[in-house]
Amino acid sequence: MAKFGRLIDTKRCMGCRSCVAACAVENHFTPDAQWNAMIEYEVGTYPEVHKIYNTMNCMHCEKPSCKAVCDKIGVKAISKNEYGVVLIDYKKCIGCGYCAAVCPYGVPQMNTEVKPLYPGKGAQGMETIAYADRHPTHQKKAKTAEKCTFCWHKLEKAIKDGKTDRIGKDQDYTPACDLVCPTQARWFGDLDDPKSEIAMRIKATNAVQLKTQFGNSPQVFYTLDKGAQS
Amino acid sequence: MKALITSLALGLAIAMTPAYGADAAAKPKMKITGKPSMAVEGRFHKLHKLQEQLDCKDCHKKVQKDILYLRKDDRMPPKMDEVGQSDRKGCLTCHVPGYVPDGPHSFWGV
Repeated sequence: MAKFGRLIDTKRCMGCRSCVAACAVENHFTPDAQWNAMIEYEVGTYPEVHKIYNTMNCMHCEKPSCKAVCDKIGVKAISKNEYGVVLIDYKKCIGCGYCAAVCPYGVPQMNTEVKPLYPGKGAQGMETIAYADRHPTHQKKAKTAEKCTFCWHKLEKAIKDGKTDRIGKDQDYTPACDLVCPTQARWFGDLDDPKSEIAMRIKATNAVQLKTQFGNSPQVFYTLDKGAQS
Repeated sequence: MKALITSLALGLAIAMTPAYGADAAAKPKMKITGKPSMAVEGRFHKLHKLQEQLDCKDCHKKVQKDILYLRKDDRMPPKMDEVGQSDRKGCLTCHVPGYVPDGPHSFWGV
C-alpha cells in the first residue's frame, strides 16, 4: 500500500504562489479557510541576507494530533486512510475548533462562512459544479474545520482507475499545487517506495520534517535552504 | 552497608510521598462538562483554566514569532502574538509527545 507524501524544496521555491492559487481554484477556496499558504521570511545579516519561501499545507502526519483530539472528544470527524491521507468529514464536524488548537502547524482552518472565489461575480470554475455533485471534500459547510486533502479527489480517482503509478506524474492524478510549480520545487508520490522519485529526492537532498519536537511525524518533507527554520 | 542504603532509599521514598500527594490534592477535582468549544467560556478554556489552573498569560503571551505556522491571511511578516494566538510549544509542557493510552495529556503525537 502506498503512503503518499510531498517534498518541498525551499532552495528552488521563488515564492510565486502558483501553488497557493492552484489550490484555491481546485479546492473551492474560501477566504476564511486557506488550505495552502506561502510564508516568507528573511535570514542572515547584512550584507548576506536572503529570503526563505516556505509553503504550508497539511502535513498529513503519521500521528495526527488533530485526529487524536477529535477522537478523544468522541466526534471522530477526522480520519487517516490507508494511503496516509488525513481527511475531515464535514458532516460529522461540530466546529469545536479543537483540531485547530492542537495542530502545531496551524493547519485546520475554521470556515466561518462559505464564500465564492470572486465575490459578486457569480460561480467561477469548479464552483459551477452543483453542491450535491461535488466531491465530499468540496461539499464545504460553514462553521466546520477544513484543510488540505492532498487533493484526495484526484488520488481517489487514480486508485479507482488503477493508475496509482501515475500519481505525481499525470495531471488528473496529481495534487493541483504540485502540478503548477514552475521551478519544480514540489514533488508528490509514494514515500514507502524507495525507488519513487520523491523518496530518492528526499534522501538525496537530506530533506527533513518540520517541528519534529511535537512527535507528529509529518508526511511532508522540506529541503531547507541555508538558514531556513525547521 | 547494603542494608543501610536500602533503608535510606526507602525512608526517602516514604518521606517524599506526602509531598506528591499534597501537590496532587492542590488541583481541584472537578468535572468539566459541556459541548467541546474553543470559546472563552467554553470547555477547552474551562479545562485549562479551572481544572489545570493555568493563567491566561501562560498560553497567550508574547513570544518569539512562530514563523512556520499556516495562517488565515498571507501577511508579511506573520504576527504570532496577536490576540487568540498561542505558541504551541508551550503545550508541550504537559502534552508530551508519545502515546499514553487514555492518559490525561495523551493527544500530542498519538
